[in-house]
Amino acid sequence: MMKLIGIEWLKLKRLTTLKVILLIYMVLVPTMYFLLSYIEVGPIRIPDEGYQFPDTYQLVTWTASWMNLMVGVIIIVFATNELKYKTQRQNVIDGLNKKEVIFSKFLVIIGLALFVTLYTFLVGLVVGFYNGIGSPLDGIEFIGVYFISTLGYFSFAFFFANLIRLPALAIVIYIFSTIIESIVGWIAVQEYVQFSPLTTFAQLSPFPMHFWVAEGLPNPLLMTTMEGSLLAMFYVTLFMVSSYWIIKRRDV
Amino acid sequence: MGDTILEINHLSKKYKDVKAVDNLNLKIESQMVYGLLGPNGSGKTTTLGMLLGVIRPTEGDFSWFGNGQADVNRMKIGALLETPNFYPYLTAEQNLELVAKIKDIDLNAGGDSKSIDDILKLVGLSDRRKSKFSTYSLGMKQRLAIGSALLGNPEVLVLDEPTNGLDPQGIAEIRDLIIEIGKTDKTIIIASHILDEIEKVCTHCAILRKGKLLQTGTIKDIIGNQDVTLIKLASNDIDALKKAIDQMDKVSIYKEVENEIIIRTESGTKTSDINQLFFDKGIVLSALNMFNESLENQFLEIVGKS
Repeated sequence: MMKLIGIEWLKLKRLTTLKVILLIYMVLVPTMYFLLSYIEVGPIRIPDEGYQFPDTYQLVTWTASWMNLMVGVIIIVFATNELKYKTQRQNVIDGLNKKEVIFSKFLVIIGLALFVTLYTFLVGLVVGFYNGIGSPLDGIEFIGVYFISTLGYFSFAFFFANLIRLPALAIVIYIFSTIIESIVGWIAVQEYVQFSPLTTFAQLSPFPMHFWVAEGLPNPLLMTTMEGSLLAMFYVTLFMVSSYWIIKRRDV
Repeated sequence: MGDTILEINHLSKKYKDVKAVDNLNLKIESQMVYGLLGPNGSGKTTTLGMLLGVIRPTEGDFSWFGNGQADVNRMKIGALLETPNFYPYLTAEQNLELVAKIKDIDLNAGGDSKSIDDILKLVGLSDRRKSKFSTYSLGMKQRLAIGSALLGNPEVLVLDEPTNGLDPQGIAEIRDLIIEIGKTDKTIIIASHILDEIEKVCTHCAILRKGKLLQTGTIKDIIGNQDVTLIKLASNDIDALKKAIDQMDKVSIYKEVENEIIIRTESGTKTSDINQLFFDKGIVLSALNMFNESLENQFLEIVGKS
């Protein structure tokens, strides 16, 4: 496994797309999170609790989840590059087997998800400390759940990259399907849409509606966070296994 | 010659209704420099692709080093298939470093195993070792691919059209390099549509056409067939000429070209002997020349006949 990590790291560390997109993410997440506090829609504005433990984690992961779509583009670019430049083919010629090819990309997905999650956690943590109320451990489960949702988006992106193979088309379809599903899933939490993969990932970082809706109201989500996380993990497995299946059947 | 390096049994690849490779059987022994010769589309690259694990055979099987189709076999093979495939945003050095990592090559091992610097020197890319692959010319890309195949001093080299895209000087250099390597205990498999190339560097050769194996054998058996002399004849009465040839023992028709006939005779036959022979039969020749069939044409002959 260390060998595969080493190989992927050599490929990734000089990939400009990776640096640029991560930089944008690192700038945009705190900026958007901060700017949210200035947005007022009639009587609705983000209360101060949004920047204190435990809600800081929920609000920052919800903000970050939108930028996260963009990070998925790294996966698409990285995976379709390997097809476009036939380097995946060369990796196999040089001795990797197809399982290693998929597993090494899965390691990249985990690595990228870890990085994005830890950074988002730091933003929430710093803001929470700055506003000084509550314990930094309160609400930390949102970070764990955000990690799963990130894994979901990235494995979805990887699956699309392998299925469609053309970078531009894969990116467009990925962005559109993600945004449309997220909006549908968010505006109208329907009985069935919620089980679709992207809505499942999106709902893991929900908007903190409890700022305005009394806690006595029934939860509009049918799935609990735990159920949602399990379903998301199921989708991650499904996308990775399907990607392996595609590569295995294809001549690389 | 010695151990069997590669054994291919009934290997076929079918794309919809096209048989790219059709029931191929081959055995390659260690230290052979084996040429796969055939025109474009004869199945050379498809065959190598299957042997290198990137194309799934429709039928049949093969075995490297007596170890079947295991993925680890390929770590002992240096291969260049079809095009040079590298990461365009990495330099030559970084790309080779990556290949070394995949093949578990210890770059600090010393001994026979050459370092990345040595390899780049060998293929003439030392000056550009810090340049990104995307800035390379086609010839340089091809050199890097050959260098990459040599990395780690593998037992077997598989080179698909190794001189593709190189200028005449580059072609000569790479051929010399392959000949040098062929003299060591390496086994080399080369695919090419250029007969001259195969003839210059190979010890053995297989000729493919439309996915089918036409001939195999040593280079001498197949194309070094120089123990006959070819002579080109013409006469005003072609039919009488043909008839006369049919009656002769040591002369046969090799090829008919428009109003001329090329005959095959024992080597060392002189044109004057032939002139006398036909004169005795009462046939006056209007043209009589030694004919040097180029190797290229002999190859086309073999390919065309079947």
